[in-house]
Amino acid sequence: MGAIKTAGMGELKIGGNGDTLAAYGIGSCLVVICRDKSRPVAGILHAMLPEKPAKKAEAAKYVDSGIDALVKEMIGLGTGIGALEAKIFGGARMFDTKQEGETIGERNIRKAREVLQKMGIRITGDDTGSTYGRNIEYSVDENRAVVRSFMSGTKII
Amino acid sequence: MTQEKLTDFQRDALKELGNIGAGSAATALSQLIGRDVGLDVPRVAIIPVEKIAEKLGAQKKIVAAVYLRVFGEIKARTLLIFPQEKVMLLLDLLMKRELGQTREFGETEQSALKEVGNIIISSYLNAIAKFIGLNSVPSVPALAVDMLDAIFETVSTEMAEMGPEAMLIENEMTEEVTKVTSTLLIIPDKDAMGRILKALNDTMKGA
Repeated sequence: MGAIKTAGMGELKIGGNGDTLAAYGIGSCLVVICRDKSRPVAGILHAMLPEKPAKKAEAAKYVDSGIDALVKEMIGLGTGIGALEAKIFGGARMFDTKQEGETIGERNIRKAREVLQKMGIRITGDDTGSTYGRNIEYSVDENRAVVRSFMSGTKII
Repeated sequence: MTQEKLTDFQRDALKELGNIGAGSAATALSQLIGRDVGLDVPRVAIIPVEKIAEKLGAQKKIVAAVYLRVFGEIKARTLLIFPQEKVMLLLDLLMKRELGQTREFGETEQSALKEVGNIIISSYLNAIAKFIGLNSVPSVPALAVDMLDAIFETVSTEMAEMGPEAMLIENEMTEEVTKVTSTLLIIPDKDAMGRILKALNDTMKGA
């Protein structure tokens, strides 16, 4: 029977057949879901900031090192790098501050695209940016993410 | 340093600060609304920043949150959180509508909320600043209406600059039979809380 595996802030989780990968209350954080095209194996990363600042920091907190860690873990479980595909979520601007320049959410999105592109991992789904919080539930078997928000209804990605 | 480790002086001083802040917020709000508003402070506590999410509870609840950064001699981040149902009532009062009339957060409602948030937060900040003799300069308030956890995690990403403790102030605003509860979080930058607590101790002893 499948389980719901939830990635809290700065966490990454791997799921298999019948599992649901979830992340809740995503504001400016960036969620990456990588799946193995060839079999029902997928992983979810819930990163907070774009770049890992120092050697001792926790990898999954940051988009760059987090994606790296997620991919490494899936490869360790037998996934070929060529079989990986990703969907990205989050990076919202939650507060209406009259801020100049990029918000943390926007930087997270940009970093995720950059890292995934460098690794040659195609992005097949995307619900990022805007100003609303998201709850994400991804079915590994169906490769289908249900994204719920307060202000913007439900999306299937 | 957390609630359990505060001295009696500090605990009393915190309560006193809460009352002073509440008093001036009530006066300002009464002027704004044009009706008598009372503000009670059932609780002022110092809690570790990691425990904030736990203390706030009900993470998927929809809330309206006013975010204000504080600069000057005491640097901090502040977040005033209203549960959705309560904020609608508050807006009814502010916009002089019948209770239950406000249904959505249009531009006018958002401005009104930010103004109320600004008044309440600034009242407490001024009380603290006066008590400890250090100034604080608030930024322009920002508003978010969404799931509590999505809002709070956005503030959390700035954890690195924040100190280890936060001040949690529970408010109860009353206007006749209408009660609006809200929670104010004041998260000073590293060292700032220590200075506040030390000043609380010194001030009480001197009083």
